[in-house]
Amino acid sequence: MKFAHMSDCHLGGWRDPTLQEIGLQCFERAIDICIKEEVGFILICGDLFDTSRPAIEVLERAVTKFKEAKDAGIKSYVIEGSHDFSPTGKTMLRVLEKAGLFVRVAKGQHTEEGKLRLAFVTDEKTGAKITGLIGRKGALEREIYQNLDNESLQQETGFKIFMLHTGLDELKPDIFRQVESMPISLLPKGFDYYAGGHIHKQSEDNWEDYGKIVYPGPTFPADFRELERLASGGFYIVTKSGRKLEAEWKKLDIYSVLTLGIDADGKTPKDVEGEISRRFETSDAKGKIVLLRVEGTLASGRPSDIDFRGLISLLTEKGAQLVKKRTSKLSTKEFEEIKVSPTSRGDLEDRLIREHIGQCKLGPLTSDELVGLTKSLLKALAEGKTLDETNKNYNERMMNSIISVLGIKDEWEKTA
Amino acid sequence: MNEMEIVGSIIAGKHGSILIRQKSGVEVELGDLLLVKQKNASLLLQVYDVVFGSQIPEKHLEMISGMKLEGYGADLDFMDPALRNYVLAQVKAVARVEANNVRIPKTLPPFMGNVRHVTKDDLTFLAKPPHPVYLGKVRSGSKALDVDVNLSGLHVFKHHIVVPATTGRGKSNLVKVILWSILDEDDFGVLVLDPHDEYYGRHGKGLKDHPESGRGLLYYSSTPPSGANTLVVNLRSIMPWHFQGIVYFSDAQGDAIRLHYNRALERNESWIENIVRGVELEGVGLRTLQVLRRKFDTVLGVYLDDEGNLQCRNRIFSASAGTTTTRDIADSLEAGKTVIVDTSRLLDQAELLIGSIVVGEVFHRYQRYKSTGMLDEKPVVSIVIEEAPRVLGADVLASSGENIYSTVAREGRKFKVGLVAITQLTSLIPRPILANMNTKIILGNEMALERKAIIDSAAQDLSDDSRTIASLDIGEAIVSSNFTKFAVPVQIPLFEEYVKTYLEDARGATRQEVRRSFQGVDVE
Repeated sequence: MKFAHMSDCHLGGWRDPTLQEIGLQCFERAIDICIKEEVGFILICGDLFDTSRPAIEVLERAVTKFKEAKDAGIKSYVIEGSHDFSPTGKTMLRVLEKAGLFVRVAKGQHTEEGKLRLAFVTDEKTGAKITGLIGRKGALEREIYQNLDNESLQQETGFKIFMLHTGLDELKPDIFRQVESMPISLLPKGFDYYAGGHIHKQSEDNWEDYGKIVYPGPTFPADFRELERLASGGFYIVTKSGRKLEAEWKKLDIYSVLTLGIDADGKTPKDVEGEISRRFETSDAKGKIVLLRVEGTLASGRPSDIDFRGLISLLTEKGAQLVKKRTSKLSTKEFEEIKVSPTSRGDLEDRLIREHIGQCKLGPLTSDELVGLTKSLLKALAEGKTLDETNKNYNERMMNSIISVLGIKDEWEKTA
Repeated sequence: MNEMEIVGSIIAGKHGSILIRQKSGVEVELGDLLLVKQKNASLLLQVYDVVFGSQIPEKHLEMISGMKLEGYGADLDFMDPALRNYVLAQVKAVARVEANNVRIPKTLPPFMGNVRHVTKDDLTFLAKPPHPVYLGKVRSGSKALDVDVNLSGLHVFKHHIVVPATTGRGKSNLVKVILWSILDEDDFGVLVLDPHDEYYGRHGKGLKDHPESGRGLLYYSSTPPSGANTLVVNLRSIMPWHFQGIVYFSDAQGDAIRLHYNRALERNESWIENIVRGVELEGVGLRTLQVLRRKFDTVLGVYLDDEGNLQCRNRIFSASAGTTTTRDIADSLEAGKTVIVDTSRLLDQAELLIGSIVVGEVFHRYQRYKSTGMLDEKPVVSIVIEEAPRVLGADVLASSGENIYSTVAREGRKFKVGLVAITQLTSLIPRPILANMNTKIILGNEMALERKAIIDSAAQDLSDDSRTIASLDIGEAIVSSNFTKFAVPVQIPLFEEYVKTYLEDARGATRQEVRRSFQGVDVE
């Protein structure tokens, strides 16, 4: 028996069209490999899509591949993850299941004791018995695990797979320390293979009383930091021979990633530009995704004084597939080393605004008026969306509130 | 017996040793709390000894007794026996109460003043403090009064608690009651190193049965029940200094560890794994490396199997899993939760080592919080440690040097980190450390040497109470604390009964069970 185990594809997740496309290509390649390797079935352990209602073009690409797998006689089994789960149940995964493209395995029934008895789906081709549970944001699925009828799951015989989209305390990698997770002991015991998702790092463990617990990581990194850390995604192809399970991780590296870290501490914008140029010249960026991270405190000038646009086009000319920059930790001395002894959040805000207010000029307003205006704006912008408010109403309310704070109602109406 | 009934009258004595003649027909016990009215105030007295008194000379008493025993006068009796023979109670004044203000008594009670048993109304000054830690009911002799004894958790935890007692006097029961009473408070984080796996209640009533256990309790065990965490600590979480004062290393071994640690740090490797794998390093002798491998095998149970894979006998230490365990525990403590670590399958040193990693993490975090002015926002963290002399004993400190537990004992209160030290052998703990432990919950102890050590370091003068301590029955205690007005005699409830009452009281507040929806799962 051979099966594929992937998770966290986050299709449609990147805003950048190139990276979104690469994400889709990685998924397509994964399915192609599954077809080529003639796996018995495919497990997708949550977050196939980045949202419960993905864009049409993303959907089209995914549907095409699922259809290809189906036509090749490979069934796919899916659970919802924290991204493609919908509390109202309106997730596109339901539609695709109705279309017969895959099976959502998180199904069951209430027991008399109020517990959840999960049902197994038996893969016709291999006889593998598959079940699992969805994942939700903040590990809210924990309550379901606490109320599982474990006995019925343990009594089931045969080769059993449990799909989950939850981090496990004991196996959580250090970088995911802050991610909500649950103890392994909440998992039902006695499965042959625990197919994990949610943790964006590949890992394989054998756990006493449980079995093989495997996380494949994402099929393609989902953000800048992940791109830096992982460079590429992948998935597992698991082969069962006798009682032995061999999991082989398939790397999906459509493009190579080149990471360039620049320390801007104590340098001028010109120095930084020079250093970036030098690094560009000595690096082979052709066909690669280049990640440029600039950090530190400039000795003078502002981050905006660095001609990133020019530098990036230089690299694009050299054949880089894509250049992404990260400058969130790049600052200027003018914004550094303000020592405040916070008493309350309000006081802290007040002091910080006053420290910086000299850098802004806004008509004839005095410093005090500017501080007042800034605080009013902050307050207005901190307003969240209410539960029953539509996006449109919320946007309108925010806009009116900001116009009112700025006192520009007349001017706004004229320009509008 | 009517509680307001006169039980005796003050007839003699001096400050600290007052003599009361007991009224016939009433009973005065060792440890009884009595009360005598003074002008505008009441004086609370406590019995510490009882002796016979008689108006008849001793020789005559011997003769009368002999005659009765030898059959010379079976009907022989005393004239006005209640008047001539009596009991004298030796008492000491423990508190002077004036309009609910309690002070240390400095005057003698009125001569020939009538004395009665204390009642609930006399003890209204024992009010429930904010953030209370429940200990039990006030005890007068062997009778429990309906007056709760609560201490201020914010104070007592950071100033350390010591629970001295011999086996079977109810130490674990007391700690369970304390932990239960604070489980719904998020102002205290408590780490319990549990070598007997008795606090969680795996096989009976325990802290898991608390209505707030889901929110406020974590349980780590190598054999966790459903919902609990596996106790697994990654080898990379262990730093050389965690062994300090717990495992002895020679100078050569210490140097080898340092060299391996520095090398592993540079290469992002595990220094313990490298040593166990026998990675050779310049400056580290082969013999030293072998000894270290053996030590890690003994202490951590870590070894190489025949295929060269790193294994751990007790499965508590791992090269791959448990990366975040110790910091997760520290986070939970910082969030005001109670964390029980079941160390019943561990050797002493491994148990103390795990404690050392967690306590070190918390202590250093709290030191940092103090320096950044954030300490006030953090809950007090307390560490419950059984057989405390293993880390606080004078001989251990002399031979192995200071360890994190002794550091906490000496400096912890500055950083809101305290110990609850449970011990049978108080005398092994050095006096400076014992004196720093400002609350002593004294249970029964037959050993005079141990009683002396307790009495010598008590917050109140207990110099006359040696016999009272020796006679404390199961569940009876004396609380001597800087945060109590006097050494309060306490009757600790049996944990199971306390839980039953607590749950009955809480039942009214619990909501009705609703049918769960299992959102996201297609339920038929």
